Amino acid sequence: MIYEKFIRVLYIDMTAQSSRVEEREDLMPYLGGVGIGVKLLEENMRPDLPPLAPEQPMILAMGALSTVFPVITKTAALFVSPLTGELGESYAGGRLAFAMQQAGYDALVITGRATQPFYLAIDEHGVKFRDARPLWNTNRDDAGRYIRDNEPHARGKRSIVRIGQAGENEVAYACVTVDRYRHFGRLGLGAVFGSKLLKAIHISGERSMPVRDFKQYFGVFRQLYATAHKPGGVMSKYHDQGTPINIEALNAIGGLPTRNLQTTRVDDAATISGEAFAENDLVRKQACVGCPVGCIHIAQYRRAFAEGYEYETHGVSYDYELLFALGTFVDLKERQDILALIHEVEVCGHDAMSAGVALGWACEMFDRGLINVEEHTLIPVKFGDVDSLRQALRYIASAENDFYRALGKGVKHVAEIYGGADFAMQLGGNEMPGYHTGYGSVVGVVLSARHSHLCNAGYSIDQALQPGEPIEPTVVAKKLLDEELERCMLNSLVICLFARKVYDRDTVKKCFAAVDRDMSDDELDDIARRIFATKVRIKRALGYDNQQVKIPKRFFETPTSYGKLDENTANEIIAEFNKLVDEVQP
Amino acid sequence: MNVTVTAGSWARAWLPGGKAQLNLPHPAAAQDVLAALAFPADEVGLFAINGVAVPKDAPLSDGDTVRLFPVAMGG
Repeated sequence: MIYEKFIRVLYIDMTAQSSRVEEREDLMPYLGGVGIGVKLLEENMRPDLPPLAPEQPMILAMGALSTVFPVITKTAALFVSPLTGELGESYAGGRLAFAMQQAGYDALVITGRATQPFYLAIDEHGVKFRDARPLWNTNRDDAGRYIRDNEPHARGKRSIVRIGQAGENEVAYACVTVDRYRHFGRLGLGAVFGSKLLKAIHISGERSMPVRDFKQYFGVFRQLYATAHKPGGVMSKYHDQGTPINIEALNAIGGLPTRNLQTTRVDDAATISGEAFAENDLVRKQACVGCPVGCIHIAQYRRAFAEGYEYETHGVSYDYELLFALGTFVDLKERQDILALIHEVEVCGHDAMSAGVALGWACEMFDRGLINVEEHTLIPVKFGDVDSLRQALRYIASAENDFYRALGKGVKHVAEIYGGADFAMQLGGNEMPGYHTGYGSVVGVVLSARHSHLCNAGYSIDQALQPGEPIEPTVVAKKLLDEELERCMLNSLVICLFARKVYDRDTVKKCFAAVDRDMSDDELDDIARRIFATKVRIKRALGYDNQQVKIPKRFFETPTSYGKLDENTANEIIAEFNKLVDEVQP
Repeated sequence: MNVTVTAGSWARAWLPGGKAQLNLPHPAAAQDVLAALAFPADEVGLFAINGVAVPKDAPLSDGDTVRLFPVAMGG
């Protein structure tokens, strides 16, 4: 919270159904968001126990400047990932950071396992454990509706986060839905909720936060608002088509993962492009609290459920990563089919990217005759067949049989049992993102703390190169590390990374100065290094060693937009990166 | 030489209507269309001449159509 000299942490014990608040001055050097999140994770995690053991903590942390300035909208989640077994880190927008601020908590630390399903009702007065037995086996929409009805006093200043069936059944890539259209998507926070018999959290508050020097504050705010909101400015493309613009861009450069990365181009990108969705299916745009951009694109998915022109419609939020994972990766070519699959992922409560990549692996295994209907899939699971893909998503969520239970633990795990590891498209245990653009994207995901393109934007480094242009492993490694360090700082604020060009160093310092906290470049560098070093300690304590990572062969077989990658060069980048990491001292 | 430049709706701020005709001096390369349009270079991820992806310094000929593709973006 701005102006405070401490970080206010709400500790919740699901086993004892109790809670307490601590005001932690010692956490101030970690700023907020991911900074305090990793420190609290390090303090509370149990490396000797499995990721879903009751003792394992999960942390939700708002940022040092959350909702105080435009586009600083996100909440960080830290946990031990059931998918990778190591650092779990995920971010969500919506209203959650705003609601935490209104309730007066910088961070929540939740441990234990209840004896029955609960949801938590949190406000500035504390925590109530509400019976969630009627909500178990409900989807995101039904759970949200019930909780809104059951907590009528809170109205708009609230956030509801909840899991679906995938989380309840501890699918290792189950997501947590935040305020319907946002998610803690990656690395399985939904399974952590499920393991604690925690269906949902409702958080609300009525605190006000007066600004001391309004003139100075508003001057900075107004300038940032104008920059973020300017038509044709650095953020306008996120409002316009949004990230689905990438379909045509990546297809053109040959970096669009398609058919389980058998190729990187589709025949007719124009039919599933951002432009095509915007012109034919887009019905509205939304924004997170505190964001003037409005990048959340909602399309209408229309489904006939009976003869006689009987239809139902659903609002489906779509983004590039969903169009890749649940579109090109499983070879769907029709927009309404892709929206149908996105809707199914939402209903089940999966992470869209991991679920799509898992389906891609299953389709190829089925194509090759390495798995079959009788022993494994129960139905034919085929590229381009939306009905079978939807059913497979439901089977994963319900852990229908041994095969789907294994598929629900991720492609690395399932390939160890059934084969196909060379085309199980994961890096560091996390299913791949939608960029096959070069060493930056592939090695960058291996090296990044949470095995995500969001840690270091390696795809962006790749795009600055001409195809085949010689690369220097030391230079690539340094670029990856420098970007990740800066993002450790930005994620402690917690900005939306779409706004990273808005929040350069000078702007960050101006923002802090406007709320009576002077920050120098050296201090911000120190904070970034402190956070990064904490992540490295956590990963090592949980047994992670990036030199043991085996990159599946297909990443080297299918040409990227840069060209074919060479495994030795990839290993050189990893080695150079590790030398640099050892030099990062908190 | 006369060249045609096209791009999708993402480029409307710099290329209204998605299309422009340019007259460029000889010799010219694909990337030269940007200066002529006051189009920011860092927004362009790829050039294609007559439907074929090319490096930014690929030479242009009279009558060519240059298609601009955006830089892939994300978090």
